[in-house]
Amino acid sequence: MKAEQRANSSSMSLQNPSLLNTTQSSISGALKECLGSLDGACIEKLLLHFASALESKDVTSAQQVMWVLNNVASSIGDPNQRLASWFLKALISRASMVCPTTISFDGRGVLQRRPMTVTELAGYVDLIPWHRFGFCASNSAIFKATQGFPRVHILDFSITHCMQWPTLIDALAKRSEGPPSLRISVPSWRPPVPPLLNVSNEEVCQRLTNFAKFKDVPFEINVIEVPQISPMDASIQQLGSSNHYDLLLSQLNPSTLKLRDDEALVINCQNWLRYMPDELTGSTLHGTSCRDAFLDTIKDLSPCIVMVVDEDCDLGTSSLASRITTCFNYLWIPFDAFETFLPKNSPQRTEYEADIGHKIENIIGFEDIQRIERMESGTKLSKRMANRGFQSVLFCEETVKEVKILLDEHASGWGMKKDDDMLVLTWKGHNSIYATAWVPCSFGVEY
Amino acid sequence: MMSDDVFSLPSKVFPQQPAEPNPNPNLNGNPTSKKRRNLPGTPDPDAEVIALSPKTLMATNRFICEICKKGFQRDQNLQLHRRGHNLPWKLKQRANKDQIKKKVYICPEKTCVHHDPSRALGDLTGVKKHFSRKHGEKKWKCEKCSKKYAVQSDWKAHSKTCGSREYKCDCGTLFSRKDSFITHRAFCDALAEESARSFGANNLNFRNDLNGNLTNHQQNLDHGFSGIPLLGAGFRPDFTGMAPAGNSDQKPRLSLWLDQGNSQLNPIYANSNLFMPNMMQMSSNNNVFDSSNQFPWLERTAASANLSLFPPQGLKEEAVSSKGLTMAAAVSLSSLYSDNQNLHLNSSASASMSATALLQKAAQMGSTKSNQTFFNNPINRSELHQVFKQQALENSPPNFVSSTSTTSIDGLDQSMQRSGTVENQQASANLHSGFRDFLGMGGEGGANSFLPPELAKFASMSSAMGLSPFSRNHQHTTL
Repeated sequence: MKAEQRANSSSMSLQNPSLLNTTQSSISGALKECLGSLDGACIEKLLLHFASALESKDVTSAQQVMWVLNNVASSIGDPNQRLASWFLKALISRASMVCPTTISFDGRGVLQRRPMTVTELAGYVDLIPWHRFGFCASNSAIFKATQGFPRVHILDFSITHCMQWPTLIDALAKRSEGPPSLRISVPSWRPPVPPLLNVSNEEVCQRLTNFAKFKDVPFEINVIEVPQISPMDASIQQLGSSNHYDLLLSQLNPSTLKLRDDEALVINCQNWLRYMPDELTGSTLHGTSCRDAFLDTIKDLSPCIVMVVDEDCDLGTSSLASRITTCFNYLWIPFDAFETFLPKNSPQRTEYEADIGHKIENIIGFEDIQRIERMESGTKLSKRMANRGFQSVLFCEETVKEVKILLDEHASGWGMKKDDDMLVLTWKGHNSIYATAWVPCSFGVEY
Repeated sequence: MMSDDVFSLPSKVFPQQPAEPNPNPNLNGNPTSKKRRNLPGTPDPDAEVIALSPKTLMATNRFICEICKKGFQRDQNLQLHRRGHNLPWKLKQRANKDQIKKKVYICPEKTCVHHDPSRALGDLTGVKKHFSRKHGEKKWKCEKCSKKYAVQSDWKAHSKTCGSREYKCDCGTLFSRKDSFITHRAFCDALAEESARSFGANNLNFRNDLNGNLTNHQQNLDHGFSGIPLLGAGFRPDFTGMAPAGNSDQKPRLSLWLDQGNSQLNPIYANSNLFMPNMMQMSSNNNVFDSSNQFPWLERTAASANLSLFPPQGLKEEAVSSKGLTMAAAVSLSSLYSDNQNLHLNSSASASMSATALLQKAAQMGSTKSNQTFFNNPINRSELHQVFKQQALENSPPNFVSSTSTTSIDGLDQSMQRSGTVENQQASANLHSGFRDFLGMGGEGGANSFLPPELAKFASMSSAMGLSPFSRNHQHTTL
């Protein structure tokens, strides 16, 4: 398992391991296995121990584990230590709701994140291929799928503020039959997660428009207005309240979107689906979950291609323990990548890790509708898409080659594998991001 | 130069390689009379073999003046210096060709193949470079690709061609990957400004655009550096006529302006007296060209640039001379902020321009604009030269990488800070804004554990237990 693989990778030594024996037997039992070296596997066990103590409201136990963890974790240590520190913060945030009298501090343990400028964001998406991989695979597939069409309309559902599009615009500008008229529609609302920008949507749209003009690509960008939620509801922590999505869904119809018959409709879901609630609730249409309802809606728009790119990890389960394990073993990947590419005291690195910390806090610290990070692995997503009436589109050789070239430009460690219809970005062999392409089943076209 | 006339210069004996790779000890000298390098390690058997210790070999200034102890690399330079002390000096000449024995040098490193006298190297510079390359520390680092060199000239040669397939944004940031360049470009401020300029106003109104551009950047001058490159853009009118037109983004309207300007300026240029007092005034104020005092100078430059770019408003003396100043200022400006910022000067070639090339260009501009009095003014030339020299000095420290790997990045940052130019800070900001791709700076062990304030409670617990945050030995993650 991944834990074992990382067991050799980094270890820390306790100055006085014997002192640990003086703590409660419940802890020393857990620690006996990894006495002398506190590595990733051990941290994971500690975290699980902490979580179970919280679940069972065992305050003393929780305090003790927290103390140990606190000595292990460090936001400026090695990746495991850094990760541990964010997990600890998340668990404390959770604990403050469970045992409010134990610790008194503001539950928001996460750093106040400074929003980025557009150029900083442009740099951020290119530091590691975490986002760029998806952009590259998607853009290439979109380019192929829209060949021959004089008009292209993209519905962009993503969290990266249109960072994906400049390269597509550049590619379309050089299209052999001339660039198409490109139209992009973005929703006015997005999940309140990093990366955060310090400028408005309009500013981003304006810059993109300038760029397209510069490249001589006829271009238009529209914002799909998602009606604002009244301030009354704002009292609930609206981290992706399903209300937002319902309102969004209500806007996804041909007339509001002004769909045209002669345009190729592309639907781009980049790091988006995981935010959509998956619980079966009465409020959603036909008793399906919000996520499924979304998929149904976009299928009805008859897109010529649907791109789904997301993080390859299963975190939808409600069990805290399994979430901790899975999350710890997954988010180690970006931490390790940052370790390789950024220096220890880099402020950027701290910020990026804080962004992931934000994610961790949400996954660990919250439940139900407040937990918005509900990642689903590529395999599960594929099943879901098939269930909703989509068929997968294989990535052509050219796309695979382009992605390989991209990864070659990054340092070794990043790789790619092809799992049937999925392209998966790997870091040191571990799956990180998957990219898939779909069409509604009524289409019989292969790209 | 070989002495033997016996071996004259038939073409067949003057091949690309020496006639005999393994010289017969009985052979008399080199088969050609022309000065020509042997293959390394195949010395003239008659030559005197010199073995220098590493210290002596790498000593940069071996010729010392006995009066002031100043060191020189060459004896000729020392002799010229001795003139200053009113000492007898004599420049050696290669008068006695017959008696001068060729000297060859062996590498002091015992394990080296060139330590063998039969493999000695023919000239001192060559053996010095060899010693550095093979056995020395690689102190020179290419900024673009991080490749390291022990010999400065190797590094320079590499830097000229490195990253020629690189992408440069108008704002000066360099990219090695196309997609990062495109994405950045799409959202960069530089594009936004350019769009405002080219799409907003039409060509005839470019004066207003430039005005807007310049005032915009005068504000920017106070904060940071981003304005400077576009300030250079404002100076494009001065260069477009001269510089090879490489940048397709440059608009022809600028030459339109030049034609306008020329017809009106020429009569005034002819009267050089107008120039001199102003130039004397400017050049006597050394602060203008003092690179450590850049901002006030730049503001003044910008101010004068504002004046200079409005010739149709009526030519005043100040306008003309400021324009003259502007060109010098622009040249100095571009020389100070080389590499990234020099895009507008010569966009087709690689970014960095040597000081001599810039001087030549400045001289060219002077002649084509019938502005010879300006550029031939010895005072101005020396001022410019001073600027270039300073720039050359300032450019070297940032490329010096200290040998200890753990501090190399810090050392680089420090030396960048030391050199103090804004350009280097900006370059530093761009290069080292945290994006240290591929450098893999793992660094040393972590510091003491970070106790968030909310866990201060546990700090008191831990100190009570006598356990301080422990140090960790950790290994880098390897898989």
